[in-house]
Amino acid sequence: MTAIDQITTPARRRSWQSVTLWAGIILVSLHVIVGLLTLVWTPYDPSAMAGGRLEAPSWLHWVGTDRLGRDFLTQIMIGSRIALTVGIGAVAIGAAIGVTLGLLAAFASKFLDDALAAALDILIAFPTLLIAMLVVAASETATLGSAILALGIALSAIVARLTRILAKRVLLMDYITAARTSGTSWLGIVFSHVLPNIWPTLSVSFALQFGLAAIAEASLSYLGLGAPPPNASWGRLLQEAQGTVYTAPIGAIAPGIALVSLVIGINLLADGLRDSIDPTRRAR
Amino acid sequence: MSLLTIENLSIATSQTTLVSGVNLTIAPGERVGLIGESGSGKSLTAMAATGLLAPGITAKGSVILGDTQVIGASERKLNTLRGRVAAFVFQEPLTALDPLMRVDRQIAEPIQRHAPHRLSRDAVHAAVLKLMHDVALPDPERIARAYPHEISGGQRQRIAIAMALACEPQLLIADEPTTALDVTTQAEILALLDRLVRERNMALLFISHDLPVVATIVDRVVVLRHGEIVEAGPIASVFGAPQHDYTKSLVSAAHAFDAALGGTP
Ligand SMILES: Nc1ncnc2c1ncn2[C@@H]1O[C@H](COP(=O)(O)OP(=O)(O)O)[C@@H](O)[C@H]1O
Ligand SMILES: [Mg+2]
Repeated sequence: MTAIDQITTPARRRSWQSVTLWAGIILVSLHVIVGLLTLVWTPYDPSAMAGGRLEAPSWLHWVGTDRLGRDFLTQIMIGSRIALTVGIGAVAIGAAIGVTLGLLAAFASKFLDDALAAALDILIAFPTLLIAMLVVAASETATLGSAILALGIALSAIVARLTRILAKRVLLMDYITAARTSGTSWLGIVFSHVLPNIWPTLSVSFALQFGLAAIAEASLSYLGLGAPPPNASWGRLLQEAQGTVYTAPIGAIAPGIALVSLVIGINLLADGLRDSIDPTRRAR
Repeated sequence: MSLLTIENLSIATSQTTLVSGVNLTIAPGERVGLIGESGSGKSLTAMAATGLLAPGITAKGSVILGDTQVIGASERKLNTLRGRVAAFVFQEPLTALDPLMRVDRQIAEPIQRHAPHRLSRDAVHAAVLKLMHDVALPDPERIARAYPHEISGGQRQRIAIAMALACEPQLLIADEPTTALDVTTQAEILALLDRLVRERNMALLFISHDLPVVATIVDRVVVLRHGEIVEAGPIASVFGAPQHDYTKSLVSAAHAFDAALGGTP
């Protein structure tokens, strides 16, 4: 077996894996550090006029100012916190609902399983963003909480379908039968065999969905359905920069780079994590 | 009183009957072989003994394991019998182990589940090593920390046997336990099963499609074909004077194989 591992995981691929993993770790921790920092310190008061309108980048305002003279860097930094909050919150809600539903479907009678599978397929046919917009529209006012809930519910369908398929595949394995023949209850099987075996794939998908949620949150905010001011979401910054994109392009470029770097960082991290979680793929 | 009494067992899906009219009893300490070609219903019969049929497959008749009627019993009731009264060893040792769980934890699970009270970590570890020693695993400390893909097929099968023994069953059901192994390992595993069954006074239900393999380890055989029993009796009489055409063909195939190898017929 070790011989085969060496064929499928040659040294070059292994070192490349760790490069991407580290790139992911660095990008994500940068956002995490900046996001946490904004809880205690920002360069300027985010809602105060800190300079002239639409100033170009300078030593005082590294990314310039917006059309109301507010410091851009401050808002982008707060955007990191908002994006992380929404991503973590939405994925947590999506995972809690989705994993539970998916496992129920996998263990359920054929009739209930078919019904759940069909419902999930229909839900997934709608774009995540559309579902989230409907949920936000259903709640009275758009808040950070409603955006998180909306995205969490939208993601839960994806998680549930993936969980159901993965769990069903694991349930067919001989080691499940072996556990059953030694008297393990269904609950015991879920916790000691099903969840650990679907976890590597699920956690990668959670990371991808974290990226999806960050983008969807930006889109909601862009459409005015996200967290209201003073929450400086990158989506709202993009929307505000729209009118001045030719005269002050930095206003659109900077939040764009922030969003992309977070999403790419998360994806790199996910790839690297999958290889280190799964011992049959772990580089040795 | 016998350990397992199967009377007039039929197993069917909504479309077809897969097993019908099977009778089989195993007394404590007795060794019985269940033979038949692939698809003849051996595994289904064995799984029905502990009430573990796939959804959509139903069993009729009577299956008494220990002192419990298995057919119609609740899952909770059956879970107390599984492992403790009857434990299984399967054909494919790689897939019978959880690929993501270290070997010691897999053996520890049934030990902890069937223990009358909570065991300390050291007690569990000691019990795991004892079982690994019983199934003659070399270097148990190292293998205990390994993942299934890091050890050989024969070693995996020994782990699977250790897991079955962990519950101290009265009946060991071995479903083609040597089929996936090479000839040398096959002989080792057979010898191991023979020794363990003897030392621990277990009954054995040994399932195989291979008459010569079965003959070395059991006292009595039941021959299954297309889900029905075609012949049953002590190994010597079935081997020496087969009654049914199908059994005759099995025996002569075995003799022909021996002759081809230059062994005694
Ligand atoms: N879950 C199932 N659904 C439908 N048919 C099955 C199922 N499991 C086994 N069978 C059928 O039952 C027959 C006996 O299977 P099995 O007991 O596994 O045979 P074997 O003697 O090789 O162990 C086979 O024809 C098989 O196709
Ligand atoms: Mg079989």
